[in-house]
Amino acid sequence: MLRSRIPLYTFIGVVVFLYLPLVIVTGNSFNDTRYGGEWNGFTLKWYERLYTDEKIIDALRNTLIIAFSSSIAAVIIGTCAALALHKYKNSLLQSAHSIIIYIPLMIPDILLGISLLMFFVSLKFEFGLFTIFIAHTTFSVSYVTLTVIARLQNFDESIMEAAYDLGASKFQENINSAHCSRDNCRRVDDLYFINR
Amino acid sequence: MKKSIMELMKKLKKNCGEIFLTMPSLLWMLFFFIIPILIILTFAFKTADLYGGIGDSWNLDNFKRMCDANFFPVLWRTVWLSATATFLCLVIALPTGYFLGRVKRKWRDFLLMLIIVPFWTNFLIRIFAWKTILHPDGLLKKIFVALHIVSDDTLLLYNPGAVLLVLIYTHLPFAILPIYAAAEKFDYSLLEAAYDLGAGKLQALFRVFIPAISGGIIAAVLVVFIPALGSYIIPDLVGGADSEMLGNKIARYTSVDRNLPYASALSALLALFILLPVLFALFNKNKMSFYKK
Repeated sequence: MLRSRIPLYTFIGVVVFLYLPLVIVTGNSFNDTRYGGEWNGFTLKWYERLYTDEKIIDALRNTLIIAFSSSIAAVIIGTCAALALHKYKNSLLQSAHSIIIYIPLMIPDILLGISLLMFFVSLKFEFGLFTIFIAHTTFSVSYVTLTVIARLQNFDESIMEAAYDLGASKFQENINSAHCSRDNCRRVDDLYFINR
Repeated sequence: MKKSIMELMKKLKKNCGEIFLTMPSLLWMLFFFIIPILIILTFAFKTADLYGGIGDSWNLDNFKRMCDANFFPVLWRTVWLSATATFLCLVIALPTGYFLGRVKRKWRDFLLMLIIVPFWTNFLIRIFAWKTILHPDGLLKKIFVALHIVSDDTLLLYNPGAVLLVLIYTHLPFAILPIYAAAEKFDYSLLEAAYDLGAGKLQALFRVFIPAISGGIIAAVLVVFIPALGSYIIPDLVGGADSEMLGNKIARYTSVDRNLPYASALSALLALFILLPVLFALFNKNKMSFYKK
């Protein structure tokens, strides 16, 4: 039976669809026109302007602060959560815990943002980098947990037992298993870093 | 009494590790997620004070205001734009997932990465890319005019169509991934069996392949439809006055026309809209496991 070629063509179409806008926008950053309808010659003037614009540098600094601090916090909190969810699967506390962790994945960002805004308003908090940090961390914890837990499910438990046999304490064991999911955390970290 | 306290202490000690690991995330989420959501639900029944902040009295004014005639078009547009985007994402994602599930293993990871990598760029950059392409002086407009598809004065930007296009663009991988995950587990020889038993191509597709990956389809619908319902940056950047969505209304009432209780009521409505498809999916999941038994 002849295989349909539609799936192949769709896939190629999807890849073109996904990449073309990014290629065009990158190409346009070297274009000498304002809106990039046509090619007016190669230029680096947009990058020069970027380099000299103090507002942009300030914004970049804020972006980096938020990206670093919220990924560190989210990775710590999320990894603890993943370990707890994975180790104590059958406890009542964990079933409640898992619901609280997974709901933010279902909720649009704007709802999370507005609810935190109302929270800070009612506490008369001052808005600034700190409130952004809290919001970003809240948003990211669930993603970290999801990724780490996926890795833990493929983790060989006998490694832990071997660690016990070799005299490792419980705390050490936890640290070590955290080590094993470290690669994953790093991946999550990168992901957040790029997305913020 | 003393004994029970001892027992409690013992229990606590036994669960010490669990509590130690659970507390950071549980407390964080309690303070910065659960309580804020509850605050929204209570603020929805409050009145605004003179400065658009939270007033003292309780009533249903915010919900009455929603029944106002010019709010329904926004609500309707939010739902149909999200639904259409979800449907079109599925139409594109199904053959793509089918292809990825069937392609040789050594190619698969690479092709999958090809789908994921564009999404490591910033969400805003991806929207902005479309803004430059669809711009009146942009590339696509020039091509379309040269091909006589559109006239010189048509606007490609600032209409619901542009919003729909960018919604699909930003959500497509989220539709492809769960469908691929389901298709990967699908035994493609079942399709050959269906052909041997006399099924046509379409019949085999709709009666064998699609039921087998229905879990992936439901997941894809949820991860596209729900974020689409709450989107506001996309209609804000590429949409015009006639393509406002619920998210824009919420954003406007929190910043420009400051009225926090009304924004809370709109957010509560959005939360309700999200709960409905989730419950529907949970219900369907149970129904499906019922059939399997």
